Amino acid sequence: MKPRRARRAGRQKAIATVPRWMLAFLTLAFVVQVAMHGAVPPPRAGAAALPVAPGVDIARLLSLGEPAVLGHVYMLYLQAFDNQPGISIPFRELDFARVIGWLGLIAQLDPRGDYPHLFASRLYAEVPDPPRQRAMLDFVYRSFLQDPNRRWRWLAHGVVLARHRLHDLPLAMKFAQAIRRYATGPEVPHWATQMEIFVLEDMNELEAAKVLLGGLISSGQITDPHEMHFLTMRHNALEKRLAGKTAR
Amino acid sequence: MLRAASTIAWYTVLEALRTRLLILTLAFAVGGALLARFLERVAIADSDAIRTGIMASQFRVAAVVLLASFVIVSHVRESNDKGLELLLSFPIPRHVYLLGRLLGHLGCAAWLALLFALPLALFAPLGPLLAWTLSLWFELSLIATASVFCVITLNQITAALTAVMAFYLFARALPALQLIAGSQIAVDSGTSTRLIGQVLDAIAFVTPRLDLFTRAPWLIDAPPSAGDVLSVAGQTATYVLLLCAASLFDLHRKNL
Repeated sequence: MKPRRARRAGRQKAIATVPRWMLAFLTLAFVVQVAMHGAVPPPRAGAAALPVAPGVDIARLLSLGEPAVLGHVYMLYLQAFDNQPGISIPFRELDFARVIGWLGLIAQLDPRGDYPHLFASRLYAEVPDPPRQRAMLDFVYRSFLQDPNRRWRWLAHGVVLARHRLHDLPLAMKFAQAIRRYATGPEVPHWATQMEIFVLEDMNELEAAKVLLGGLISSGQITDPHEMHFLTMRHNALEKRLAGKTAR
Repeated sequence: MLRAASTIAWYTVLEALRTRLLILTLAFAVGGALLARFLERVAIADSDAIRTGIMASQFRVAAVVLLASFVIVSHVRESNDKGLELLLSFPIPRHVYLLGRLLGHLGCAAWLALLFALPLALFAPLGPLLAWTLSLWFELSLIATASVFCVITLNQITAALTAVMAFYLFARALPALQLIAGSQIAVDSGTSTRLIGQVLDAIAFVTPRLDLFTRAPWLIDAPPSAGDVLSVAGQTATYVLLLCAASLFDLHRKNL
């Protein structure tokens, strides 16, 4: 006998040494367990309501000193909420007040993260339900004001949504104006700060658009010749439209 | 035979008392209650539900960890001290020894469940709390039997404790895993996903539905029905029997 097998044999006796009633007991218990499995109701998928987000103090306590990590975990939880085990819930059926609560909490736990703002602007704000869209855009706007140079892109998408989906030009104007006023960092591209001009044009506020565009051209901020050419053309077109308006 | 079994059971309970399991349980109960109280104070909404829910869920896990550790360490110590050989040198059959040990562990499980239910009595309604306590006892009985089985088979603290904890976590997560595997939204719905789903369904036949046991919402806003408690009791009885049979089988094959 090989040493390993001998050691195993030394520890355990052969199955034949186990009394028969014990083997019968084991078999019977196994059969009863399998039969019992059929008596227990199978797992059922049910749409559970999204709970209220915990307070930021509790969340910080639970994070054990790693709030950003907990923020990521919460984001994954929220993200997966429309895909609960075995069930898929349309975004528009979620309680948006609670979703905003979670997004706000996650943004507080991880202020440098883009994840909650991306979801708010690109996912939840796109649901075909204007009141929910407005609530989510309001969240995007409030978050933008806390860190404009980092979060301008989510509000820029909010301008597009307000303008083309909600057809609410004053709201688009409010967002575009906020980007021009507060997102003044070097990393903010010019097209984002120029959005206000195009919204003004849409609102037929040609004079204001012209003044803004003229100011931008003469400010010296535009260094790209192609961009300068494009803006000058827009400026000239605005002047023409204004002249036509005055002539009428 | 019953006399020998009850003596072994009594000494098992005494051992639990002498190894300060009672003090540890009280410490966990008081600490958990204080933590829940603190969280209740800082919660903005649903503070009662947060307090009761946190207390109930942490007591459940603490009770399982405490009892599994006690059972495993107790058996390994007995084996190392040659206490098992000494006991079996008397005219005591192995199944009587196992019955005695299991009865002792079930006794420990009962007072552990009662001790953890005491702080909850301040906040939860009596009926649901009774059902919760009974269910915790069933759950602990199941874990105690699973621990005995693992320690007889594996004979080492680390391996046995890991196996019991893995079994416990897996049994609690299995229904969710089954649902995910059967979901239409799975990213990969190919052969491997179907195969994993079938394997999980097969494992479910020999795994208790621990997700249905000792649920915190019972104490908050969803009191259990008699059917819930009966289902839990039925599952416990069946599974404890199966684990007993498997433990007996392994114990009989053991060369002492």
